[in-house]
Amino acid sequence: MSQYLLRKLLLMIPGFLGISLLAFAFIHLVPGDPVSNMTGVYNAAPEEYSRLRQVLGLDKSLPEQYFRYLGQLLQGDFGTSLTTGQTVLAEFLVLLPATLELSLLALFLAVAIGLPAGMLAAVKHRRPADYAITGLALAGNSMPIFWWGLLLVGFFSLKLGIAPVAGRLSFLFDIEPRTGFMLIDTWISTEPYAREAFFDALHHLALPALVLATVPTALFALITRSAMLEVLSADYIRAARSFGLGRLRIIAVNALRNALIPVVAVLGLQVSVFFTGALLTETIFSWPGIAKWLLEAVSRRDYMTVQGGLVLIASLALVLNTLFDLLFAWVNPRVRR
Amino acid sequence: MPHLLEVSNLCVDFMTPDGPVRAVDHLTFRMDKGEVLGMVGESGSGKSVSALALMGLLDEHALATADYLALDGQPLLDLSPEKRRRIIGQRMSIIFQEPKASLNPCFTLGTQLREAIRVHEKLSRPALRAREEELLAAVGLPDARALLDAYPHQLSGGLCQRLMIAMAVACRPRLLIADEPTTSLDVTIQAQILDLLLRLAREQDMGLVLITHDFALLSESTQRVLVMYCGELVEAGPTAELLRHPRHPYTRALIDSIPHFGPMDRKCSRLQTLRGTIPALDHLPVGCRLGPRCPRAEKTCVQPPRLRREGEILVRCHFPLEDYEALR
Amino acid sequence: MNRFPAWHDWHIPFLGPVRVLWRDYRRDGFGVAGLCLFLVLATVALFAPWLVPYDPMAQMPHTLLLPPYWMDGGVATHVLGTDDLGRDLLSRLMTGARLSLGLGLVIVLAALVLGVLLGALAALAKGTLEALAVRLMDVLLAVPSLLLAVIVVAVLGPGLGNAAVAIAAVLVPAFMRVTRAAIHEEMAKDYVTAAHLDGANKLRLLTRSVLPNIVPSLVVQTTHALSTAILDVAALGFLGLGAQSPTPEWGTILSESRAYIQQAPWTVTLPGLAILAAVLSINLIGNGLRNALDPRWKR
Repeated sequence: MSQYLLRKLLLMIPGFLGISLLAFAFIHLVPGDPVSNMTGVYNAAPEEYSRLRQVLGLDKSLPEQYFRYLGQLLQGDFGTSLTTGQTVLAEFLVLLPATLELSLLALFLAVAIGLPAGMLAAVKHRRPADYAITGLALAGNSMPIFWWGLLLVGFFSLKLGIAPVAGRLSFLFDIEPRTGFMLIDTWISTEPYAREAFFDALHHLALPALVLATVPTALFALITRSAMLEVLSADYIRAARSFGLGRLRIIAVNALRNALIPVVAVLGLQVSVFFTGALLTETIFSWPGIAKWLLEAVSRRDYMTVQGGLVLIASLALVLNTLFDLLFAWVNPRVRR
Repeated sequence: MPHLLEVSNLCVDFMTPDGPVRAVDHLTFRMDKGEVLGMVGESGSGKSVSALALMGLLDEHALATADYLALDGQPLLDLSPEKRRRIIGQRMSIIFQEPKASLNPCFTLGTQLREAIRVHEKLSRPALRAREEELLAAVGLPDARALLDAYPHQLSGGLCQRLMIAMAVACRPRLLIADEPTTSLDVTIQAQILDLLLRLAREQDMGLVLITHDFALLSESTQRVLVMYCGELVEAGPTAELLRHPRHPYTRALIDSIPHFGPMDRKCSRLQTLRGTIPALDHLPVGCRLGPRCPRAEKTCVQPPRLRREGEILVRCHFPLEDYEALR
Repeated sequence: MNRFPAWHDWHIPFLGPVRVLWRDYRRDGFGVAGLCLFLVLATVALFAPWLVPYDPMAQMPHTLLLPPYWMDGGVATHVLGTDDLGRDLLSRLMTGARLSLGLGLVIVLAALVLGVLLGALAALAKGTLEALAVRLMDVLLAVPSLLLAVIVVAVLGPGLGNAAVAIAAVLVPAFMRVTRAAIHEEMAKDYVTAAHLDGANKLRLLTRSVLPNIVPSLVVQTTHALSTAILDVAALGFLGLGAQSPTPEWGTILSESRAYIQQAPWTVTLPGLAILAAVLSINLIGNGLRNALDPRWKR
């Protein structure tokens, strides 16, 4: 197992190199002059321009420039935003908790709904419950969530007026951001209205989390169903029945343990699904997270932020993928050594 | 004294999109206490399906019916599913062909062995441990506690089958059904597993049904043999008598398919086999099911033959063989 | 003597692979429904220029935000109503079908060809080159696909064509992986060894023996890619990075009419339904194909 762990961790190194290469290529492929793109200074005087070129190292060869860039990344320098003047890393760390909070709640919803639904469909194979769950899951899996989000906002927020339209918290509350996770911050806050603020934060989270959870829930249900169907027809389930074990116990213990393997195997895939979802959900609900931040940087042509954001988000995805690989090895005895 | 197992007119139908298909057709037999009974036939002849039906382990899309079914004089058909479940694994057990596939890959062997014990018996921790030791010793693995911490994929097929047997006999069943227990194993291991099964049956006075497609395996280990073809019992009788003088052409063909070693004591030097293959169950021929493959088939054979008694033997054939050499 | 018929006479007749596939596919109700839906949409997309009642770009100042026919105030001449500029919604959605399905198909075909070629090369490569290709594939697959698409659009600039290029580029690694994995799996099988022993060289082995046998995996991946492509084109259009107004692309229509969700909900509901229908039909087909091709479900 430790050998496997070491192998997986070592494999992240070429991954990071690939990401840095991608980001390096990005800044040189973007239309316009590299000096302007990297500093935000347009129409610089010739002397100033050549000075900037030298400072940025643009007068050197491309490989030299790349190693310079790699050195900056290794020192934790992910560039400085051209519009706010803050470092990209600082902005990223401020916004990350908002996205994580939303994604974790959505992931929880997806597992809590998708897994039992998939199991139920498999157990009721080719019966009405199975067709209903499979049909719903197939539809959910095809859902354009930007439309789905708009519909829910239109219905719950605008028509019924029972859900907030946007944001993480009402302006009425002033909560000191300590962890960046609104639920935790309101929970530990000492303000007299902390309790109301906590429920307000939950209220703001509900609709976006529901929207973000739609596609993953459907995917979990479909994967659990097919995994469970395969496991239930396996020889070892028949053998377990031959010991005289009860049906419920076989489904909930013997079969579920095996069906979890393919479910965990697709968790890595979910990182991409969640980011795509976050990009659209954060846009619809004006959620101040990293996906919306990156999108705004693109539209403002703040290329340093885009470059730094690309490295940070892609690295995060890589780390999460590796973590899920390790989790997979942990649930699957056949991978372990 | 009641028989150990009594089966009367067992039928199994599989529900397919094109309608029901009968996999076992009116199977009737009895078994005495401590008897070792062989069940032989090609793949698809209904041996395994019969075994699963007796255990009540068929899938949902299979329908099993019988006139009477009893274990140790206790009728099983009227029992609720819950009561039936308490009997399987405790008073009647089964082991399967692929020991590795029959063990759950996600749990250690110890967990699975303890699970098999604890379903039926609530034991204290030391008693459970003692039972484990006893079972390991019984299946020829004394001082092998380390095995219990292993996962199935880490062990050989032979070891897995020994542990499967340990789980099957964990609650000292009266009847053990072994469904092709040695087919997927190495030849040297096959003999060991067979010996182990026979020894356990003798020591624990346990009835043993040995299902196989290999007549050679049965010749020295069983007292009686049932021969199945296309879901029907075609011949049944004492093993020695059947081997000496098979009445049914199909039994004769199965015996001929055993390769002989040493000097040729019989005139035939070529391996005798039936032409063609076993028909699909939804495309059965009219009348005698062996008909199209049988060298002795005649016009009469389009009428379905009935089981007839010939001495100690039951045979389902219009033209049973007069002696061993009759089929020429 | 009246003999029985020879044994092969009552054997089951042999069916070709396509007929077997259709026989198994037909049993899946969801798959058949998806196929029907897809055929309807494809017909609309194919013949949209001749079927549309109005020019999808024509603005009619007298019929602004007209509701659909079945709602109060709706008229039969604009069955699905009109948008804020008085453009006929039905005509816009029908033209949008042409864009979504047609462009989606082009994107996926490009990604398929490129992905299979690169995947086959990666499968045949040995040593450092192979390791390099596999690593590159893994990194590209780990990075969220829409993030990559957004980055590519940032480089190329917004627009429908550029969005299409971005999405096609992002779909390539998945095809590479499926191809490489499938080739590796097939190469290890005995029939390939047999062909190899018969003297077939590597290229012949690949094109004659292996490629026909990885078609099922590719077909399933293609349907998956097609639904992803249609969704991503619409998503980029919605985010303002894809098709720009007044192009009647479904995602773009949706983002334009976002502001009218209370005043004219149908301008939001209908384009979204169109996207859902297109993606759902393809996913249903993919699901049905996977079930029909999967030997485990053949009983």
